[in-house]
Amino acid sequence: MNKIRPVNLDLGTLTFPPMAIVSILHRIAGIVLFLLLPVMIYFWGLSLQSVSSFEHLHHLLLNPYNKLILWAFSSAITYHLLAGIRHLFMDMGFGETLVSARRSAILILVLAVIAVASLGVWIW
Amino acid sequence: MVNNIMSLTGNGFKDWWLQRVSAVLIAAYSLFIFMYIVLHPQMSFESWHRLFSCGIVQVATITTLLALWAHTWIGLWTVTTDYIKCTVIRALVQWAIVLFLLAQFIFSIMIIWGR
Repeated sequence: MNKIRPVNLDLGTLTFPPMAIVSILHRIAGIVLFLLLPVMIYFWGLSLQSVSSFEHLHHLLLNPYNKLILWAFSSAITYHLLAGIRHLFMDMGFGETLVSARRSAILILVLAVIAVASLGVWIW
Repeated sequence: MVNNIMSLTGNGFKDWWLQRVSAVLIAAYSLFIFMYIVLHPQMSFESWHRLFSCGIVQVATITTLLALWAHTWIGLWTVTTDYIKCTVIRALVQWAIVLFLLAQFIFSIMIIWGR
């Protein structure tokens, strides 16, 4: 084997483009939604069972850990929705070029940061 | 041929299509519930309970739960098929996910109709 062949393994030159970040976050958000779904269904059940269970849920959601779960779920579903809308547009053939895909990916990330921050303010 | 007996429809294109149709349903329902909560700050149990006693909302909820079941199955099938290389473990994990989702679907129907 040629021992002086060129090697390009400078990992510092490899970075994720915004499109890749949007894509992997879409997947991670989906898994988070799956994992937190039972908790949300439990909360939903409490909210509808009776007046006392509704009050109990109200009390539960004052707990910072439960607020964190609620924030994680609502952030994940909001992100998953935003990235999903972008995905559907691309399925229909819009914004498929490298330039427009990068632009829409950055737009989704910016919108997601705003939405996640707003949800945090709303929940706390 | 790719072995896809654990996918929801057993057909890539049908899965793809169902994934998108269910996504639109879930999005519409979620936005409706979100807007209802935003427009009713300090909501009482009575108004929340009344919302889910309404026939249309009950049908929409069950339909969305069904869509959610399909959407989650297809999504997690894709993820587990990507990352779990051992067929036996993957099949077991996928079965566990499908049963877990089914249990949650039944539990949700009990919440909305079992009262």
